[in-house]
This record gives sequence, C-alpha cells and structure tokens, in this order.
Amino acid sequence: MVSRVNGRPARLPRGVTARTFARAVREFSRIVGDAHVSVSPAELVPYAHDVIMVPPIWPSAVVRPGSVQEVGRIARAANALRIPLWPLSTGKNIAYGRMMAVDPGNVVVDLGRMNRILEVNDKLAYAVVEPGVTYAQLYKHLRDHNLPLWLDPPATAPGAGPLGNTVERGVGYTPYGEHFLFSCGMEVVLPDGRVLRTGSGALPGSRTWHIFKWGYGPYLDGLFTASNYGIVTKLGIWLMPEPPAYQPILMTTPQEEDIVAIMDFLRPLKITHTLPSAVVVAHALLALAAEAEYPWALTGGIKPVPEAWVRTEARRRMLGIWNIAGCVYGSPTVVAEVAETVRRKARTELPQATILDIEEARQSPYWDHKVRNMTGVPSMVEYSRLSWRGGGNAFVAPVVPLFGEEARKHMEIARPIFWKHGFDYIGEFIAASRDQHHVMMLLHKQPDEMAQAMRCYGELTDAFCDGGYLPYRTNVAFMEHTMRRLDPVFQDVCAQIKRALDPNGIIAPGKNGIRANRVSASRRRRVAATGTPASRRARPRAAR
Amino acid sequence: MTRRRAARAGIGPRGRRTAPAKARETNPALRHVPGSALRREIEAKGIDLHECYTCRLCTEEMQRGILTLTEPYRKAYGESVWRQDIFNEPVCPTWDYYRHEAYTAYGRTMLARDLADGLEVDPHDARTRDVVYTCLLCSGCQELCFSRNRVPLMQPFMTLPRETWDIHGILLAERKWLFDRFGWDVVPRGLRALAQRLIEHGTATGEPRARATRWIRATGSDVVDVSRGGRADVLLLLDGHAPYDRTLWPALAAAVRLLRAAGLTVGTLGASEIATAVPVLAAGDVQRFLAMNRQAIRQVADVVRRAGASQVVALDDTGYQAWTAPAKHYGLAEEIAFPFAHLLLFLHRLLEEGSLELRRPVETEVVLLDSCHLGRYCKVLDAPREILARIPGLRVRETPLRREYLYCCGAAAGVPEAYPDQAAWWGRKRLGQARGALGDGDTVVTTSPLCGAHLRRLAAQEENGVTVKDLAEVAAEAL
Repeated sequence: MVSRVNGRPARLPRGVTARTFARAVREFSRIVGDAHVSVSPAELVPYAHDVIMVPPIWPSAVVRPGSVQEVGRIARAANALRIPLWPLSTGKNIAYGRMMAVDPGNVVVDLGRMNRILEVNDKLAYAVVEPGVTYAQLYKHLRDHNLPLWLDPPATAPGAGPLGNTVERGVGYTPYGEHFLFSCGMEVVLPDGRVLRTGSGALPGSRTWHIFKWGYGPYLDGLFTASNYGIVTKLGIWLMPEPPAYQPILMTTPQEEDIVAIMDFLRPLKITHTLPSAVVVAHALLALAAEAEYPWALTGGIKPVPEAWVRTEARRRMLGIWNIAGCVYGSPTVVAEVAETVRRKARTELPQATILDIEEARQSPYWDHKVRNMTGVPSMVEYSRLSWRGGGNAFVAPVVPLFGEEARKHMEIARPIFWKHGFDYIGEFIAASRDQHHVMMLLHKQPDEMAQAMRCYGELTDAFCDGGYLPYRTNVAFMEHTMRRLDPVFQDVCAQIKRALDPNGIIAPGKNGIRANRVSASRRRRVAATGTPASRRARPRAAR
Repeated sequence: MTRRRAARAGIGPRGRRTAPAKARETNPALRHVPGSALRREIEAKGIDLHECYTCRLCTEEMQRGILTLTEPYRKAYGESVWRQDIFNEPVCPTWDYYRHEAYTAYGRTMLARDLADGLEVDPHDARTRDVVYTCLLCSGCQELCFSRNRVPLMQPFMTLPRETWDIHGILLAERKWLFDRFGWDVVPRGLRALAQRLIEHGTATGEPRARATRWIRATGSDVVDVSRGGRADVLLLLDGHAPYDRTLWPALAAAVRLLRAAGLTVGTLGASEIATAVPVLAAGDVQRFLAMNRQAIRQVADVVRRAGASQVVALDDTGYQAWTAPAKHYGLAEEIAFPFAHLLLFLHRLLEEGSLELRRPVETEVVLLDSCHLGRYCKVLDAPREILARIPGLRVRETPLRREYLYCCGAAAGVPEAYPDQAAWWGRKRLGQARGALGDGDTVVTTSPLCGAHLRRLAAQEENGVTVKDLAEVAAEAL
C-alpha cells in the first residue's frame, strides 16, 4: 500500500527501493506478527510529530517488538536490507523531538510493548526496567508494593520512562538527579543483532550486574547514551531509599540581578553536598507560564510580556522574580540542623530573599510540584507551559559553570536573541554540583510561529557554542548542527565508533549528529553555518 | 487592551484568529487540499486543532495536580485528592487494548490535523479504519484532557471555557469527513451492517418494527399504544435496540412498573417505535442521522400532542445523548420542543417529589457502573446514585474508575458489531473491575440497556458469578 502525504508518496528510507522496503516489511511481520507492523499513515501519524517546533518527519513504517530476541532479529534483518531504524522507548522526549526521527523514511522501532519492571530489589535499592516502563508505572509499582524507595522523575512527564530519559542523559531533582550516574548495567542490542550486557553483566550468571557499574575492562555504558550505537533494551537504575526526614527549602527574590548572588550562594552548598537535591532557580515567567494564561488581551500578542504584569501575577502566586527550590534529606535531627544552616546562610548572604513557609507554599501548584519533584513523585504541573502561547515548546539547555556572574552573562546572551525573534525569555538555572543547566523554554504558538522558533533555536545554539557553552541535549532538528560545532577529531571518533559497530548505519542515522558515512569538510562547514540541512528547515505552513 | 478591544482587533481569548481559515478558503492554491473541508468543519465548531499537546494524559488517569483541581474529580474521589497518589489506570479503552499511540484521542487528533493538512488515506486500508472506528466515542479522553482541565487551574485569570477544547467534536468531524469522502467503503463491515439495518428497518436487529410490542405481551406490562390514539401521562421511548432484545425486556417491564407505581399511565409508540440510530452517526453519515432524528422528533411531538403526554422519557442512553447533545456534536438539543428526560432523571424527580417511594428493603450489595453516554457525556451521575441510596438495605459500591473517569465496557458506537473481540475484552475488564469492588454481593447495576445487554452476555460466558441488572430492575424490587 502506498501512503501519500500532500499528494506525494510517503518517504521510503533513503536509497531503499520500494521492492526492498516491501521485503523488509514482510520480514518484520514474520518476526513480530502482522499486528505489530504498520505502514498505514493513520498509524504512523504519532511518530511524525514533535511538540511542535519542527514540521512533521514521516517514518516509512513502525514495528513494535515485544522482546529482546525480536529486537535482535529486527536489527539483523534491517542490516541485511540496509533499512534505517529509529528506536523509541516511551516516545516522550518532550521538547527535544518526542518520537520524531532525524531523517524521513526511517522504520520506527517502538519498544513500548516491552514494558516490564523486571526486578525491584528493595534491600540494594535498584530496579531493572525495560524501555516501555514509565515513571508513573514504576511509581505505582513502588507504592503498590509498599517499597520505601523513591524515584527521580523528570519535571514534565509521568508518561516518560527511566530508560529513555537516562540514555538521553536526562536529569531529575532528588540527590539521584543525574540519571546516568545512578544507572547501572545495560542490555544493548547491537546493530548486527548481538546482545551486549555492559559492566558486571558481561559475566554469564553475574550476580552484580546492577550494583557494580564498572565491571571488568572498559566501561562501555556511556557509549550507548546520547548516541546511536545500539538499542538499549534493559537498564538497571538505582533508587533512593526513602529518607527518614526531608525538608524543602523554598525561597524567592525580588530582582533580576539577584541571580548573581543566588548562584554564588548556592555554589558552596552544592559542592559540599549540603544541599544534595538539584536546586532549581526559576524565573517568575517560567512559573507563570505553567500557571497563568498568556495575557493576550493586555499585550495583543506583542512580546516580551510587560514586567509590571509579571510582578503582579508573581505576587498573587507566592512567587518572586527568582524562585529557588532545594531540599535537605536525612535523619530528623540532621535535616533540621542542615536546613537551619542553609536558612541562616541565606539570611546573611541573600538578605533580599524571602524564605517561604513550606505548607503555605504548597497551596500553590508550582511550589507543590517542585516539592513533589524533589521527593520522587511524578507530577504534571509544568506541562501546562505548553499552552502559554499555544502548544509549541522546545528546550534549549546549555551547561554553564556554577558562578553567579556566568549566569548573568548567559542571560545577557540569551535574552536579546529571544526578544529579537519575538519570544519571551522563560528560563531556569538548575544547580548541579559544579555546573548549572540553563534550561530555557522556547514557547511559541504553533503552527504560526514555528519557523521563527526554529530560527531562534539555531541562533541561540550558535551563540552559546560561540561563548563556550555546550548544550547537554538538543532537539532532533539541531543534533547534526550541534555536532558540527564540536572538534573535528571528536566528530571523527564518534563516526569511527559508529562505523565499527554499525557499518551500514542502520541505527538512528543522524541521532546526535552521528552517521556512519564520512562527513566532508564542506558539509561540516555548511551545516555549521546554516543550521539544519535544507530539507529539514521549517517552511511557512501555507507553502507546504 | 481590554478583552472587548482585543476581540475587535481580531484577537480571541488566547490570541487565536480566524483569518488563516478564511485565507485558506479564498486562496486558490489551497482550495484543492482534500482536507480543507475537515478543517472548515472543525474550525466551525470553534476548535483549534493545535490545542492538543500530545501529552498522552487523555489515555490514563495520572495527572495529579491538574485533574484534582476540577470539580468532577473532587466529586468522584473526595476533596483531599490533591495530596493523594495517582492511579495510573488506563481510561481510554483503545489505548488500553492496543497500547499504540495512534489509538488514542491525541493520535486521532493528530490524524485529523494531518488529514486537514492534506494527508491522503486509503479507505480500504484496514488500519486506518481501525484507528478511527475502534474509538467507542466514550469521551473519557475529554474528561482527562490536559488542555481542558488546565482551565480550572488558571481561573479566575482566564476566560477560556472548559468546553472550548473538544476532542469529541474532532472525533465526530473526522468520521463525518471520511464518510463524506469515501462513503460506506471506509466504515467497518459490522458497523456498516448495523447502521444500514437501522436506516432500512429502524431496528438494530433488522426485524420489522411491528415486533417492538412483543415484550409487552411477554412481560404483561401495563402500557398504552399511543400511536394508535391512546392517551398516556408519560411517553416511554424505547429506541431501536431494547424492545428487540429479550435480555432487556425485564428492564423495560421494571421501568413501566416504576412509572405505574408513581400513578402515571405509560404510553409507547408500539409498532411505530423510533430509532435514534446513533450507530449511523458513529459511521459518519451525519446527514442521514440528522434526517432520521428530525423525523423521529416530529413524530414524537405529534404523538405527544395527540396523547396528551406531559413527559417524554428516553430509556436508551445513546438516544438521550443524541437528543440532548449540542449541534456541534450533531445533537438535536435545540430542536426538542417537548418535556424530555432520561428515565433515571425522571424517576429521580418522582422520588424527590414524593410521587414514587421505594420502601421494600433489598438486602444486597451491588456495584454501580455508570454509562459513558448517560453518565460521562450527559452528566447524569448523581441521579442513579440517589435512586439507589433511597432503596432500604441496599449497599452500593463503586469501582475505582468511576463517574467521569469510568472505563467504557465496549458496548457503544457499534463497536461490538464491528470489533467483537475488542468489545468483549473491554467488557470483561469492566466486569473484573466490578467484581473487584464487590464484597459479598454479586450484582452489577448498569444505567444503560446497551451496557446491560453487553455485560450480561459476557457474564454468562464467563460464569464468574456476577449478575447484571438494569438500575430500573433493582429499583423495581424495592416497590
């Protein structure tokens, strides 16, 4: 059956004939059953869309394996026929591209059916999950079995999964917030169909696969994160034992320039692990975007939103211009003492800050959401941001040294670019131990502002790279662009590893800018100069 | 800028403009796009297709924080839910069955968006058919939708009404567009047969309508045939399914007993029984559906006038929905000019007025299963509970997914005819939920004849010790 999009036949994988493609579909059907393979446009629709900066990228088919054996056989078949595969776990890579592939015509390998929680060890505090397991599912499992263990969910999606989030190097808010750091032991289907067990799992019958990360010999796990060298089908994640006590520390400050003092105040607390949670310092507009409606009537759609409005609305919701959320954990005595130390230090070093009463603050959806994030409970409040202007969102997330002056400088780079393209600056700094993730939301109205958002994203990425600040993740549309900004030796090594493991380049071609084929110097220059390749650039809706 | 000035300037609440749609209509380059009719249809309902953020919350009850702020959720689960844990229970039956993103409200919304943008589909492609027509139109997604439920969180800071974002409207428009474009070819075989039986014979079974009176003789019910000139206080509309299904005759007889106990004479249309034919709407043949119902409304209005009936009572929940839904859902609410209520609403009113009393103790435990169409869509949720609460000795249980968040049993929208395996799967799951909520009792009470017939059939196959009764039957036991 030929599917057609806008009157044209839907994309086949690049360089693959219709006949070979039909053979591949037959082969996939033989492996997973007809019911789990589709080329029907109606079933491909969800895989073609981001939320929502990027125009649709249509896959050629979707195949939904139910076991690691099936994944291995799919990879072997795809390798034999040179069919590119785009693996997905839960498909909730929200604002970084969701389920969308880099290239059109890939066959999506949707691992959502592999959704078993294989093990939860409450004594050693770890879980082993398949790709389709969601945070909400794992949370429910822990609660239903009365296990005193905490998850570390990301901010926006109970529907996202720990495996996918970890291999994309996502972060959370408890002391276990650096997800890859707290993962241990992977099972990976390699492009040739072999199954690799990393770390201690390399030993057949290993009893330490998910408790000792390093194993024997080279540590390989990192190769399979933010890359396209294999399909991760199992992951061990360490869970935080529920502490006897915890105390959130919630503060607000009234002025934008306070950011310098805030980050300098936080640095020693983070490096010494006094505040073990990720500490979020969110701009008022970020919290308001989740709680309020864009003031269309006030602004007529003209950005940026007036500062007076921001101040008024923030005041109504117990918000300051900067909103700081961290948490202390431990025994009741330790928690009380450490929390008081932090508060005392805040009173001295951040005299302009208001320390909020926790119970009172939790009446506000934003603060309650923050507390839940820091105590292992998935929550959806931040998702509301998507409707700030009308559905479009993309995260821009460069990493900055944990200095106040760096934060200020970074805002000075970012804000004029947002304003130039007609968007509000909506951002937060998330203090880790030595760095801060400056996560900015490019909230726009789709589809009208989509092309403008793409331009803004590209300019921001370039400006940050020029300043020496590398994004830790990017939207699929900018993966190749970002990779081309890196050192050519690094690019070459990534490509060499790709060629060694995946000579035919069948797993997620272009993911994180990595391809098996050699990249010419001229292409490197072109992509670095213009952003995405011409075929991927957003076009005005009417022209499509 | 004030709201009024913003409106004058063409900026709606949320800054949406209608200009692009108009531009599309006048732009010759875009006029040929096959989906433009779908876009017009949806935009005419005031729906912005891009309001869906594909967050997946329309599939499962898991959005603490937003949903818990809404009145329906608090009513279902209590005031303190803000601090309670999430359920993470699937509410969308097709998501639960297929676990495929296309088989969700947001998958179908994205499909509508792409169809409107010019995506071409093959009407003979079974998967396209499945994506569109497995949906039970149960509107569970509507209740869970983040975009809709975000509204209470923002109040009183925003003006957007909760009803603006309307998944149900999109799903119906999508079917209408497919039907208008491809005709019956695109409709699954079972649904097509059912809809055509209703169109040709006015009955779900294809029997002649003359057989609509058999239940009266079989149950010895005291009813007047008003279509032959008799007079009655209440006209009971039985619709195109119940009078032809023997398993539902006890429910019909119970309804009559209850109305008679309130001192009312009960009339039916006899061999001229109407059919609201909701499966015709589910197939996408909106024109035919509206024509059939307009004719039925004229017939009923005429009979009401002649028979002197002071109340028209619908027994069928889908029929009640069809006649009370707004025009944007192809309903006929604006065209009903006679007193019209569902049986349970009417019984509740009689109980409130004291015209009807339920005195006899019924010492048993039952679990109440709401109907999607009557309960969730039409919001007839309190009346069934209050009727059961008035029955002495009756202990009523609820399933964890209840009221607006109920799990559809798979009986509606012609799905049992088109997709019998899936419908049975959903029905068994719903029975399992009911069984889990029951302690020592064994009775499942339904508020819809369609749900009742479907679940009764499955319970008989399962032999899991559950008895399915219509709420009217249980209430009649207390007379």
